[in-house]
Amino acid sequence: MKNLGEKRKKRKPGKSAGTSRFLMALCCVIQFLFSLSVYGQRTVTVSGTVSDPDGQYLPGVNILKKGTTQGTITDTEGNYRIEVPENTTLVFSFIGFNTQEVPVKDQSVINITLAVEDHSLSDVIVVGYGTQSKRTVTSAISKVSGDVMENASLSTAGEGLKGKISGVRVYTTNNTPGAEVSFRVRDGSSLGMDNNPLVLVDGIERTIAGINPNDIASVEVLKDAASSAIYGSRASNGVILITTKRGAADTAPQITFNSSWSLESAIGFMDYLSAEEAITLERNRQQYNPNASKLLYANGYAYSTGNTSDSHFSTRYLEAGEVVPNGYKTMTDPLNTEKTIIFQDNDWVEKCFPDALWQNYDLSISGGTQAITYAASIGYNDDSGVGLGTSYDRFTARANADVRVTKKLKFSANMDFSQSNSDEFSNQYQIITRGMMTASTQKFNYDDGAYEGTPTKGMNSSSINPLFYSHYATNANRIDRTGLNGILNYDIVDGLKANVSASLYTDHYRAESFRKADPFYTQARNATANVTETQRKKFEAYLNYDKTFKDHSIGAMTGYSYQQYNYFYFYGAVSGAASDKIETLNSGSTYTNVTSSKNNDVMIGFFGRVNYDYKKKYMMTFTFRQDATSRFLKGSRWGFFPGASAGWMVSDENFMKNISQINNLKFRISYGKTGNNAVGYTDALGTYGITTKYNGGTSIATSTMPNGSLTWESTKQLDLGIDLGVLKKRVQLSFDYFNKYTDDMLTALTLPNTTGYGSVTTNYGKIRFYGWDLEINTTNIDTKDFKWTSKFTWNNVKNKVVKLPDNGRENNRIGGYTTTMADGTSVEWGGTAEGETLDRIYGQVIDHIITTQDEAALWGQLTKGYTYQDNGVTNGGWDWTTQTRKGNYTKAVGDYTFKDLDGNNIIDGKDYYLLGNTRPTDYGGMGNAFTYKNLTLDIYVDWTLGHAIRNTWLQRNIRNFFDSNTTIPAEVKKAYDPEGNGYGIADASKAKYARFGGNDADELNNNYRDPSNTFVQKGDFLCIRDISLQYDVPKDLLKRYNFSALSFILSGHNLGYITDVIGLSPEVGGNVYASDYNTYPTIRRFSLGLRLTF
Amino acid sequence: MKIKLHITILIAVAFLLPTACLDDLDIVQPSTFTSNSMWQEEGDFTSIVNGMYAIFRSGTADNLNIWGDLRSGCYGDAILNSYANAVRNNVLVEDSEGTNWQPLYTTINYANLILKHIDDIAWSKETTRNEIVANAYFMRAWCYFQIVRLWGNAPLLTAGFESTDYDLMYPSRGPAADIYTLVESDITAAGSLLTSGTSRHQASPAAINMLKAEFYLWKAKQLSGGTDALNAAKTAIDAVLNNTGYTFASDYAALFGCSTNSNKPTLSASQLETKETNTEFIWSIPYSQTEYTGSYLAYIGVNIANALDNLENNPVPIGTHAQYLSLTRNFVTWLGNELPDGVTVDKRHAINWLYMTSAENGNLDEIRVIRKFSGEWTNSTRYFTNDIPMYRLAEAYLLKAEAENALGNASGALTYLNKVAYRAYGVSCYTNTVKTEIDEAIVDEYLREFILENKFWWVFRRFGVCFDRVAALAGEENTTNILLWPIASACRTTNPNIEQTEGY
Repeated sequence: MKNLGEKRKKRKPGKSAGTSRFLMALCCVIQFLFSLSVYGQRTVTVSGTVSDPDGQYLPGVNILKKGTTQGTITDTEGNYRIEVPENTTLVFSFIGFNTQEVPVKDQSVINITLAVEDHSLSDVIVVGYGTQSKRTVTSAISKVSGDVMENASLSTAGEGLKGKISGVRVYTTNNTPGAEVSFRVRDGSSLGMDNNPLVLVDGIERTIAGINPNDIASVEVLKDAASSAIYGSRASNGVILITTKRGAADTAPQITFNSSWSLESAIGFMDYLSAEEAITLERNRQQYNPNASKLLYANGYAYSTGNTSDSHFSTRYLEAGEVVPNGYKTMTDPLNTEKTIIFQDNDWVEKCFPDALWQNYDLSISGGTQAITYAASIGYNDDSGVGLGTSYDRFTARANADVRVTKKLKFSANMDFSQSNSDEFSNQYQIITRGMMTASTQKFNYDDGAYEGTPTKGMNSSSINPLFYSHYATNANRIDRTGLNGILNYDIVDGLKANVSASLYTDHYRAESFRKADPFYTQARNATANVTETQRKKFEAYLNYDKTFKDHSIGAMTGYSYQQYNYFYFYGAVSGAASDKIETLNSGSTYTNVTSSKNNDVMIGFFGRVNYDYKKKYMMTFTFRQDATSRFLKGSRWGFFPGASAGWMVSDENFMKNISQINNLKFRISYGKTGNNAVGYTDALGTYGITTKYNGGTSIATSTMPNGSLTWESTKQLDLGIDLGVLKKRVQLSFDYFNKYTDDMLTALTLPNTTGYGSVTTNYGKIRFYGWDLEINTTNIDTKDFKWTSKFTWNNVKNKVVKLPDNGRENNRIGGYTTTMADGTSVEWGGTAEGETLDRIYGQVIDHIITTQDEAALWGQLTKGYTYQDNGVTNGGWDWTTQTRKGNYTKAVGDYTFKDLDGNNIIDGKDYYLLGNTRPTDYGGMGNAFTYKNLTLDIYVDWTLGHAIRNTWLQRNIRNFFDSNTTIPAEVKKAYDPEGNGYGIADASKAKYARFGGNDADELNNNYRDPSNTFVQKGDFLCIRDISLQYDVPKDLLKRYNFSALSFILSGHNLGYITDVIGLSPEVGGNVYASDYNTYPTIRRFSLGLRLTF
Repeated sequence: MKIKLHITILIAVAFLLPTACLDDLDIVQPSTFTSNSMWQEEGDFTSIVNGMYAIFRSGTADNLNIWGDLRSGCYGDAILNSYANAVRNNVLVEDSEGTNWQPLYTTINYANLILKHIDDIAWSKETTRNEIVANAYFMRAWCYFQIVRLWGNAPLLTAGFESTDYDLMYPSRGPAADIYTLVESDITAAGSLLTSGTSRHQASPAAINMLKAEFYLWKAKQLSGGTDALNAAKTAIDAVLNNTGYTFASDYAALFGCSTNSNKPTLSASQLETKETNTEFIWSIPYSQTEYTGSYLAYIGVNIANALDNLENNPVPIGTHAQYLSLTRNFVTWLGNELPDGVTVDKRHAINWLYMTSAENGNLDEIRVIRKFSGEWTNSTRYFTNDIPMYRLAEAYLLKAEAENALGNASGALTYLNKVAYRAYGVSCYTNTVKTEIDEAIVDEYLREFILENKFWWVFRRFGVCFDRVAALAGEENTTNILLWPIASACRTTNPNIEQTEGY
């Protein structure tokens, strides 16, 4: 063995070095697994019962002779009997209760009441490379227990954490089934790079996706730099440590079966006019349109009477003698009262997003002896998907085992696997955003003609609806995730422990798509397939030393981490298949694209920590990490990230002893530095592109400008915290103020376009994030039968750009625009500038709606106004009064007038004002749990405030473009209504919107063309996230079936939003009409679940 | 005790590992071509020459047309009438289409890098090296010639950018005269380095001479270059005419692979093969489905949503894009009615454009479509795969006529003008020897022969007829820099040293 050891030392580390060492350790473990020694002594018999504070007997309580693995457990009535040596101490332990030790002495009956575990200060917090008692923690760490997700019907763990962790904004960016949420710890840290926190699940760096929420024991978030600096370079955006459930020693096997069935439905869609209302409105309006003959009487228009039975629009005249067809309604043509219009009134939202079934099952087992503890689970989640053609299912399996090999050696193994399958829309903007604009008069399927039975076409090839898409396209994605982790813990000498671990995480993604031939847009039958495989291997080792001398405790830890990341991508695309029957690549006749690529990444880090406390009253912690990354070049690749924190348990001071209301009071202060290296693998080196071809020959393109001096972005953060427990700890409060500055920001610096490059990744500038986190936990009522507890979090975070590279512009603005004012001065806006916040929305500001013909005429003379026909610089548009478009344009009654920033009498893209900001400043959540006897009611709400949404979806809906073939939102009832036909506001001065006219872009004054304040809405929302009611079947009823617990749960998830945002999920936020915007509606679930424990 | 020893060793090894791993940080990314791998072998250079043309192709895909055609007043009034309005109406403002010089400077950066690194390696054959250098000079000259005619004063950059520490990272607009000097010397350098070959998609002696002729005619007419410049142009053009690698096609239709029925693939299989070897094309930009099809040509098809069912692809070419580009009604009328004396039919019309009216649903719809370059109709999809000619022999004839006429040789001019006329009309219709008449006829023939080939504006400018020929510019002679272009805000916001073109 010695030789082998030396050989390994000399060997260059290869890919398998970590794995083989791991196997070697495993052999040692197995070899000595059975060498545990057992010894016996002269005995006495002790018996008794164990109960909880309410007097209920506790079955399954572990009773051990202290210092041995021998013992017994209580029976179903809480009774036990054990033979023990004299002078033994018995240890009573049970999950959820404080462990109690009782010396036997001369007693033969010992009845015990176990106290409920106090989660406040005795709680153990998982910190980087170790654990620490909450009492001595001096940095800002939030913790939530996995229980918070227990009763909600969740597809992903993230859904269950919204508003529940102080300092962390958890939000949905896509509601499509199975999509993972986003996390922002104190709003991130970077301007241009990744702002996602580092997520470690049992030490494995990975996404939270694919984790069964029921497997999670706790979630810890390292928020400040002092706590996260131990993860150095990866920690700038905070660290989320997820710990999965493990077995407890000396517990009987516990088997739990959970299942839940939900009915899902989409919420939050925009209200639309009924078909009859829409036809009346459009026909009244369009008669003045220069294209009236087409829009009102030609075939192929939503509100035209010229459609035929084989058109995709249903609107047409009832022919003489014709019986009104099934499914059609009738109305009188407002333009010709002698004619009857027949039409369908189709609810596209209901058709494309019907209610769906959601199911979840999981089975878990846990338990342990002194030698081995284990926890394992399998789970299955199936979401049939509210949106047509979208579904998701996930299978998970996890097993954690800890083996006490010898007194000094412990071996732990974690294994997890998950498989997720999903179908989703390839582009929600084209399929949902634009598809939902489908007029209610459009048929679902052709009911006559050559295409009878097939879904009707969309506005154009890139604006189709879910019905059409799901009929003609398939998208199937599968992700297999596997995590394997082996850990050895060895007590070298008293207080000194070594921890060596090796892990492997593989993420295998497979996606296939096929587009069938449709008669309208494409017959190419494009098929694609791609495979992405990412693999992360990590090897870590550290030594930990803990020692207490009287009042002084010290702890020291040091170690290193080696991490290798490999990425492989393969993509193939074909077209020209002969039929729709085969959807795989082999069917194609033309290979349109085949490519593969690989990337590698290595990180090495050394880290350490020193803790010291005096009487657990004065506490200090120092940490450091030195990291190197392969992404930077030699000379710039090492970064040093130190952190320091201190705490003072004021309540332990003598002068506080008399203040009985205050149970604990701790002040904390921390400061540290963390890093970010999230640039491209070769940004430092610079790249040349090799993918394009020219005239059939290979070609090389300049793609990334080299920047050899590229180095770490670093964030320095100060945290001031206070932890307070009052009223017998019934109120626990934790408050943190933080202030962080990110320096040497890794950002794409826009280069002058004469360089031939768009930008270069560089270190420049400084940004500040600051704010506070508050968490309050209270036990409001605690009686024998009734208990009410609350949890409240509120977070505030703001940002400010402090410094940008000098570029000669005011505030060194990057991007943006310059507006030259009448007096020659200029106003710069947009982009990013010093002193400003991030993610601002700019647009035009409505001055007023023109109310009189006189004023409208005046606008014409002043040549103010807007229409794009003359390049956006001339006056007017369609003249409502004279019904003309040719000649001089002019404004009409009901048109918007916009504020003219530069006063040049031209309203254009230079007249933009700051309208809002898409980044929330405040967010939080509140949970209330009520327990009455066997009933538990949980109510969670969360909120996000202080931001705006540019609701371009509504804007586009009101614009009614695509030749007026779109549906009409009910909001138009708040628009000026020139005819006073009841679908709007007759008094222009009271209207919220300018006149609705149909096809605003082409026939009206472009009232809705540019971003304006009308469609910038307050993004604030409060979501009633989860309500659950749990009923626990009384234990004595279960006894005869040998069940230890059975609960039924009724719950609702995403019950509703209170918000001003119209027509979409306020949570997704941002700029709504962007092509990467996810419009999939919020899904509400009503569930019935049961949980059975054996 | 044994186990303790083993584990101690194990743990000791584990802790000694990192020292051996540090070399792992020097990763060579297996599928990325980094700057470390570049400029090392001859293939790197031949490939980046292709890269230079590819970036030029994608960067100027719309701009060639915007710069070369749209200000002529001959284009507009398509079904979707919002495309490049400012340019078509000659009311340019900052950020109008075509005001960003980025694609040209990007191409120039490639040329500069090639010139910078060309002698980094030892060349197996001097001719290979020279051909690469000639391509760099040729493209740099072409781009600067375009820049100086579009914007006048402009940054003059002759060293490639490879890192952020470079003196001219934030250049100012230098004098136009310096740019003309560089263009002239680059053309000369390219011409002396490349003396053989007929490559149609890269620089060739003929392509260089076409640029040279165009440049010297411009110099003669716009920069007071005098007879010297005219003679230089004539010499260059004669070299093209004497080059046996090029032939004047007998049939205008065959030249563009068009058939009059757009329902069929407009290029037959054999035509598709020959489009690359069409011997009238001297230099053209290749387009193909597997490489790149996104040129301005995509804008000429009529969107299927706008098309009249009974005319779809017969004869109206259908595309997926909305129709942005068409000929104005005035220009179509002129093309159809104002033929040269003695001419009854222009064979080019059927190929170039379609003008008809159609009754659908009781409405009279006017259809005006450019049919030239209408690509392929495959799998019910239109692919605009025509190569876009930059120089072809017909232009050489007109340049020759222009040079001869300017030098006072009217009969020489008429000879070449009539070669173009004869193919179109079947008669050599030009006989008038009055110098201004010949110039007028040359310009007219450009308009009929080179529809959508991005020549109109440059010809108007060279002949100094912008204010006569473009209605929107009539009477604007005294407006400052009216014939130049403003600079896009994107050029100025990233570089505060760039000032807006005076007058804008």
